Amino acid sequence: MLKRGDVLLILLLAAGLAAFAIPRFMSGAAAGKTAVIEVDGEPYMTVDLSDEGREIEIRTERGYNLLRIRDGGIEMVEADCPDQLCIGFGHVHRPHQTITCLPHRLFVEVIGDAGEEAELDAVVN
Amino acid sequence: MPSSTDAAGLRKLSVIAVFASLAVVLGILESMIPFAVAVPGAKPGLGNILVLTCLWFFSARDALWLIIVKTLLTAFILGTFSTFLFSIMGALASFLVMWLMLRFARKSFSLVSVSVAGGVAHNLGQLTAAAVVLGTSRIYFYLPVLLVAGVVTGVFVGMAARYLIGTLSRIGLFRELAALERDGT
Repeated sequence: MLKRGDVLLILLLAAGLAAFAIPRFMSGAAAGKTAVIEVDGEPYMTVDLSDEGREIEIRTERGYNLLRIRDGGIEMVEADCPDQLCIGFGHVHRPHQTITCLPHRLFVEVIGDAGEEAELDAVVN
Repeated sequence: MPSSTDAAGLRKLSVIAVFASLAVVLGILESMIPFAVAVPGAKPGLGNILVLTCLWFFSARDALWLIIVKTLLTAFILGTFSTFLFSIMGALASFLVMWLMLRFARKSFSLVSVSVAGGVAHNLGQLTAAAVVLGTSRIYFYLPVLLVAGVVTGVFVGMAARYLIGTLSRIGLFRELAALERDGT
């Protein structure tokens, strides 16, 4: 029942998935140290993930979001966007994990160790 | 919309209108089920059953109109204009991939394959629009999750479309319209 194109597609998808997933598993054990918050593609704030219980309120002309730092990670607790997808991302704590609130153009990424700190410094500066 | 006033053209227009309304209803229906809790940004994409069926029987132009009407109406009804850009980019990417596969390689792909490729293209298009708007390529770290979601929903949609196309093919009207389409192009 499988046609030639089907096999090709399966191989292509498996390769694509591996290309993205393998580097992620390699760095998967590390714990995130900070999180970068961006609004509208511009750096907004960098927060320390060991700041237990800290709440970050973000109000822009597009709407309102509330992030909370807990257990070495960060989560979206409240948002007044229509789809509430950002809350569905849950508690993120590993490097490269993200929270996105597209209606409010909000992007949060967990940053891990040395490799990314150069990038992080660039953002802070 | 196809502007022909002849009987066959009108019948085709009515069929596409019914497809569009069905796709909108399915879109509203799936917005009520909280799939997004498991994978934010992923949707079953049931409306794609109709897009795929439309592409199978009719022309690319007809399917394109169906997608535009479906995406606009769904955004109007659900009030999700803040994410309209992302929906339409996903829908267009999905349309392009499925159309190319059906137009040039219909014999080498099963319908489920076409639907899976369409589902994956939808998520890629959406994520690319998000990367441009948010000005960061780092959002692609989320791609593997969306890829898997696209494959799962694509398999389901493809199987549903296969049943629908199989059933509709037995109706005289669809055989007639599809034959006209082939002669016309």
